[in-house]
Amino acid sequence: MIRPAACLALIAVLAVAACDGSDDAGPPKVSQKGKAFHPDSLDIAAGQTVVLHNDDTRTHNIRVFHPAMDFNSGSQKPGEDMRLTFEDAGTYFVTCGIHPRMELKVEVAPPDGKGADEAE
Amino acid sequence: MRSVRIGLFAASIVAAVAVGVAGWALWRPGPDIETMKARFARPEAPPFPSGNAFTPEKARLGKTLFFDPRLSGANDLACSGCHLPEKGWEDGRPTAVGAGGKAVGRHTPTLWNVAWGHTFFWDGRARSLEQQAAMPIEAPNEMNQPLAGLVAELRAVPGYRKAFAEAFPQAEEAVSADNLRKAIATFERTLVQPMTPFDRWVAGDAEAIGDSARRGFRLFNGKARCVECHGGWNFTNGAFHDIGLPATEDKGRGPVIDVAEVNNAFKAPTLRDVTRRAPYMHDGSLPTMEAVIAHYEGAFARRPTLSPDLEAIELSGREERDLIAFLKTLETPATARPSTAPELPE
Repeated sequence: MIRPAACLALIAVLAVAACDGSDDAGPPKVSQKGKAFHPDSLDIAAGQTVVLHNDDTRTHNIRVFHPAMDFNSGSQKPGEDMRLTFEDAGTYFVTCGIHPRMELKVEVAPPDGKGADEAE
Repeated sequence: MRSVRIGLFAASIVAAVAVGVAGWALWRPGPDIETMKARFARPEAPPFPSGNAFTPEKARLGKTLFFDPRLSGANDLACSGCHLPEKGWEDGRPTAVGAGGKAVGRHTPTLWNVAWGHTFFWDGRARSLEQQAAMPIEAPNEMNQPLAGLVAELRAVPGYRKAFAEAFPQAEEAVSADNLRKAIATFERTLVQPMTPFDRWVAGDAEAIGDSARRGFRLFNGKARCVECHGGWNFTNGAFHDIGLPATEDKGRGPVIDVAEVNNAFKAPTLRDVTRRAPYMHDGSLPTMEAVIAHYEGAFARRPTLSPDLEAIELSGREERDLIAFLKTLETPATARPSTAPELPE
């Protein structure tokens, strides 16, 4: 006989396992899965860091081509995190050098709340 | 005793879930044919970047430049020397032939639908058509013509001075390297494959393709696994894969992005007009579509860089014929093939 409390505990464990592991207090997290970014757009403030996690079964290569950021992660293997800090306001496109159709749009607002366009 | 019961209960849940998942996987039907077709619907018009908007004058100039052998150092090789309109914008050779009649290391890629490309060349080293356009011109083993010398040459041709001025009316000096790149890129973006029988079928003409081709389309999306890399209306996902061709010194994408895991990887090409564009692969090493299918049936090299998307397929003789029948529906109809070369300015 299994008790109701044990059932609730089992459900809670399953629920925790099913969630994406994001932490409200931590930096925004983006998953790479099925050769796509999830989510595929983000709004953040200048100076903020984004964590890109490879949830896929294949290697990725994070690329950013922007006047304020020319970034090449090199090899990002399945399970690895990559942290990107956006120091300057603007609109950034994060792609994969192996799967170029992957695209993450990052709108970075200036810290004082001005629009990204005004800051550029 | 209680812990044993709980353990058994948990094990039975795990087993039930496993059986359910396996059952679902076996029962689950594939997408219906209309859903599959919808994934291949053509866009209405090619995109042009804001920094190089389309104008007819620019496209006309780009076409003239594309067909002019004066763009090469020896004035004997035009872009169209390797990208022949009558051969699906390829040349039918295993690998291209460049300056001095010497072979270039890679097969000439088609230019159909490059407006939608994300990267260019087999290794994706150019990120825009404007960047790409000048690279074969300057490459010593291709057209072998430094741009500075070419611009001076073009400025000496009255017909080009006029055509550049019409294409770039705001420019103080219209005949420039940047404007040459922009004009050629604009022309290249107009190279949109005309409607094929497959496109007409997707658009609703139920009789546009035959039964064998329809079976081939299902295979393409299923058992033959082609759609893994050649999905979407342009029949490519633009990604880079090592498909297990014989290794050479040409490492493809790996050195371009400094990622050794994609050594031997090259861009998945479009399959539009593919049956008119033999031989196949970046090295032109496979002479026929039958040889390509045999390659994917397991005749590829197993090595650490092999694409995780690649698994050996198994097709019957009839299935192979159906798959090829489907690919033939991607051919440009004879009546819609591109027109001849333009008259060159003096």
